[in-house]
Amino acid sequence: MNAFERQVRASIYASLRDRSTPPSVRELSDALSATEDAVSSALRSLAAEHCIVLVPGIPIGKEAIWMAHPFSGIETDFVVRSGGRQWFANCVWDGLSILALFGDGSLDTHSPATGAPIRFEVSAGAVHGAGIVHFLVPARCFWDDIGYT
Amino acid sequence: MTAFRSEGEVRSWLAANGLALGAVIEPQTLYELGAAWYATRLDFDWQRASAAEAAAMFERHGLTGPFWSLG
Repeated sequence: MNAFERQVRASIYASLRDRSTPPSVRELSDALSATEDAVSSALRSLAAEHCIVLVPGIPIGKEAIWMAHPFSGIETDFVVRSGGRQWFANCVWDGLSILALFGDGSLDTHSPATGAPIRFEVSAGAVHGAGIVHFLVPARCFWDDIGYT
Repeated sequence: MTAFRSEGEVRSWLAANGLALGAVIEPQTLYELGAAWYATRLDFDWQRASAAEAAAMFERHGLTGPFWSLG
């Protein structure tokens, strides 16, 4: 990760932290006083290094951020609420991790088996709620297909 | 990583979809792992954990065995 890529990465995380949404190429270009080509190139490098995940199939220059772990740049079934704010996470692990970053709150999702709602609530570092978590993909294969993971 | 009401529900879902059991974890464990895993993620100078550091993090939270191996 070069110095500019690090700035891009920091801007992505600041946006997700403060606005709950990832920045566009144009927003990054404006914020960093850089060309959109430079931003596009940096996003692709960061994705190649598994620092972020881009939405598949988007043309060069129009990149959109799918994941900047633990945040999701798109709506998911893992909805985190804390301090009057809301974020989407990529999975249960990431949802609980966002709460670890920001404090007490809740994670809402649904059982893939029944569709029943499941809520985990975090208070003072303790997780409450009826449910367990299943990891389907072994750790060494997490990045083989990160969307599936 | 998805949430289920119970381990029995996990097994029913796996059977219905022709999938094998992976690892079942308590949410508290996952929260504590997440706190460590992402502790510096928002820092400007964040550095990715090495494989050895990641493996040690899993181990500190009781996640051991072939499923959690990074080798």
